[in-house]
Amino acid sequence: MQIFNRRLFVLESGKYHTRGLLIKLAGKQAKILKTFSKSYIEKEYFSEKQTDAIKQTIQVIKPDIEDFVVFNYPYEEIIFSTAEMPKLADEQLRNAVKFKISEDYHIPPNKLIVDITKATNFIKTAKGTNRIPIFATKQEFMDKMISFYKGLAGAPEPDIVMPDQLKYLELIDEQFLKDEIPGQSKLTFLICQDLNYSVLFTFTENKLNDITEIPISLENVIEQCQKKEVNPQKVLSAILKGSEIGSLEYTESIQEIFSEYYSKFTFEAEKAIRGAINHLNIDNALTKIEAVVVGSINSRLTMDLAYQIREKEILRGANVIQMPLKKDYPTDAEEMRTIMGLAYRGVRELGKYKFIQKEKVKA
Amino acid sequence: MVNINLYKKKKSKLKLTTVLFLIAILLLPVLALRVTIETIKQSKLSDIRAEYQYARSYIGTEDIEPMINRIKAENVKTVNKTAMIRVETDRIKKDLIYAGRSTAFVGEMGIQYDRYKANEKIFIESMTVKRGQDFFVKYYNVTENHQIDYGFSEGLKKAYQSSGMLITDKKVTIDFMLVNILQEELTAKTAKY
Repeated sequence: MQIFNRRLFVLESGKYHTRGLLIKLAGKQAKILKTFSKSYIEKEYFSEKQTDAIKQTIQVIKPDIEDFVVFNYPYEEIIFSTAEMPKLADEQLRNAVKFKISEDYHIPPNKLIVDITKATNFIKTAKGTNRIPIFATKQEFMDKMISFYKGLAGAPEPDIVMPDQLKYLELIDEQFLKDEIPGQSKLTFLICQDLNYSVLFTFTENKLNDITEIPISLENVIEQCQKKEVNPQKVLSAILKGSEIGSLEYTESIQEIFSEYYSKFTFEAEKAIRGAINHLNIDNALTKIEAVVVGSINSRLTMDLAYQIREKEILRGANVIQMPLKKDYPTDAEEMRTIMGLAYRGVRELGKYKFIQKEKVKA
Repeated sequence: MVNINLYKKKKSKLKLTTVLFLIAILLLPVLALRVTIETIKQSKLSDIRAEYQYARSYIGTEDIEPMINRIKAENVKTVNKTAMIRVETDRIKKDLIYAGRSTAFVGEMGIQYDRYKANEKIFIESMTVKRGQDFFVKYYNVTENHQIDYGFSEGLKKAYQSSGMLITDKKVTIDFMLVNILQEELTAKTAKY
């Protein structure tokens, strides 16, 4: 019975890991009640291992029908686009945007799911129109995913399904983006490195302007490990937990793999940033870069990546910093960082709550 | 932040216990009101029972409406009874007055006769003492040697008036040889008794 408090069940699942989180919301406080995490290596979505992992998550977390449920949605299935639109009523705007995406990607509107950001995130152009960030996907994949989660894995129906990459935007301390530099239009880049994708978020004037893919991710490390006969599952576990790579066996091989990976990553990130700058049509854009913010699936990888990018002097020595987390981010949720992004989204939907430290789960 | 949600089909569901709890919460003010009203009612009824002891047996704990109807019926019954008693009392009162008047009407004649029998003779021609009619007596008062004082007649009228009778008289004096005769008709207004 959820009358005087609410519960939030968050499920993050992908090709490499499945995580579950149960959060209790009461008295303006959000408290983590239960967590579950399982890693595995699969090439595709909806694999047997993923099914088992979701089943186990449901068994451990035991969500009920009144829980508010948040799922992630695979990055690969998301179409991100922007459109310049005149001022329209919300319903008209959504329809117009849907038809635009439908035309651009040759998908019938009835087979397309489209959502746009809040009006406060629209970027005003010199022409008086709005530049609107759009997220879309195919209805077919969504149906397949919901049917898989609910049918095979026994998960509850979701209230929110959010694009996976947006979890990083939920984790970042908003105040960092809001801090203005007087007389300057601020340009901020956020590089997010995940297991099977990496993205570059571009913010102008604190507003999301663009999302670009960086064609390299931790998946490459796992593939290299497989090639060099280093146990990829162990490496994956270490990556997910944020453990010292030196604590693993085959340290030398792994160091080599990571070194090569970071080098490639920095190169690809620089390419992506410079490509984004070219699309922005801002004069002397390089001088307006406030910071290159780096985020990843845990603090160790964030720290390592930021260090490597800084060392390589990306954008001729631009300010590279680690992604500042929200002020109420629970310190003991470090190993669950990625799912916490989804959790923040769900919590925000239910009201204004602050996270407190996690309760110890009874064995 | 960007509030993107790609799945907006879910309809929120509630557990049966939550639904029952919500119904109970919704009904709580109604129940509380009913309990409060009932308590106030019982308190007021208790006050009424204390104040109106005669009505105590008619005031129960059930709804007010039947209680009011019962008290109203009892009131009608009591009013009818009171009216009947009043009628009966009036009748008895009239009977007693009639008995007193009729006794006085006849008895006073004897008293006055005894007072004046030495000097006056009384001849009653007719007399009516009947319920529902005025009393009536016609008599002759005879005195000797042309005396004009008719003690019997005057005494009788005074006695009737002092006993509260409204008297009308009709008199004729007859001079017959050496005797004065007073022919008098007295009517006492007693028809109403």
